[in-house]
Amino acid sequence: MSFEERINELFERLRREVRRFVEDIERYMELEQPMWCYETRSLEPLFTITETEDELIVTFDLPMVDKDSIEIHATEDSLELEAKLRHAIPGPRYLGREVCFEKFRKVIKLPIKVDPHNAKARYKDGILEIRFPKISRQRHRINIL
Amino acid sequence: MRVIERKSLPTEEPYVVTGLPDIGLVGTIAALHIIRQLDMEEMAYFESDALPPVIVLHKGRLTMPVRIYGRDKLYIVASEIAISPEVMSSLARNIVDYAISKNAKAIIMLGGLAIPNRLEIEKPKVYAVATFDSLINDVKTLGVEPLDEGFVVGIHALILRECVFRRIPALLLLAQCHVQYPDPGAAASIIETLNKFIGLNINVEPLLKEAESLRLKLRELMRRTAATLSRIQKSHEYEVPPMMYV
Repeated sequence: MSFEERINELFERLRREVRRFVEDIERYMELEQPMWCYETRSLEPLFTITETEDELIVTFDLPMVDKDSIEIHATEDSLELEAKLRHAIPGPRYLGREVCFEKFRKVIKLPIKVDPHNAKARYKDGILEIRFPKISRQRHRINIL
Repeated sequence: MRVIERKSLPTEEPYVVTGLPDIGLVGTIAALHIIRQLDMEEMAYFESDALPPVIVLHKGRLTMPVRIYGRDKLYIVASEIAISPEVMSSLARNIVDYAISKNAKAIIMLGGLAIPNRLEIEKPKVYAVATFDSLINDVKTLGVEPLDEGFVVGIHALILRECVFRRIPALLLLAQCHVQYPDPGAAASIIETLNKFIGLNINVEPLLKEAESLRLKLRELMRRTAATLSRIQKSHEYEVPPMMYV
């Protein structure tokens, strides 16, 4: 391996370690946030984001919710979900008061740009699945005059 | 780490079952349901400076987060906190030591096998991994399919490794489940298999009835467990071992 290749490899390792360090910190900070908000009386749902070649798939775990009470709004790079619980759930005491949670609420920044107009959603067994087509990036040839 | 024992069962060759936080919280949900249905008693708990500074309050009573319940011929190891990688090895060793001290017939671990199309599956299938062929043959007669190839990662892998070294009968039952959501349906499947394997009669209908409420209560534990699983590279379980063609 040449000297240049060795230096590149070292820098690549350093980049990976820094990226992993930042991800660990982000994960730690996210874990320290509670999964509820007293001000909005809302719970944060569990969710996952996966990608296929053509689609971005976002799923939410929404137990104790009826399909008709789910509202989803999306842009090219964000998703907002609100879903009313079938009945209010008591939470832990907060500042001496008992608070009840009434809904799930979550706003997500999507990792890539999607086409919200052609998104499809289904709700089955308490799991909401939303499939967004990815915005296809077409290559254009630019002519030089 | 050490086990602080309060009581012991006056029984020969009990089974030691583990229901620890892992994929889909299948083991945790199954363990908690069995403990409630059999009205099991707390026998012991795990104590270590490496465990997080947490103590649990249940009905006004203080209890440790990782503990052992017992009744008749069954011990169950359960945890209300995610098991961090720093603690996994010593916990695995202590569980096996405990099983040996009780002259256990076998250690049975309850866990989940993440599948992407879990929504399409009405009744999750159960698979098995074991340290002895005789255990595999026994579960095969119950309709459980043995896993032939793959990786096992996490606390179950460490317990299996310990049992391989010390030649202890150990069986890992894995039910198809959601990747990152608590899955009471998968827990119900695994309890039904356990019922047949060790002759229990646990009713899973109450578990399925309260499935939604359980999924709501277990969100935090699932999130912390998912973070832990990410740290131990649980995704290895989705890979094919490179030497499978040897």
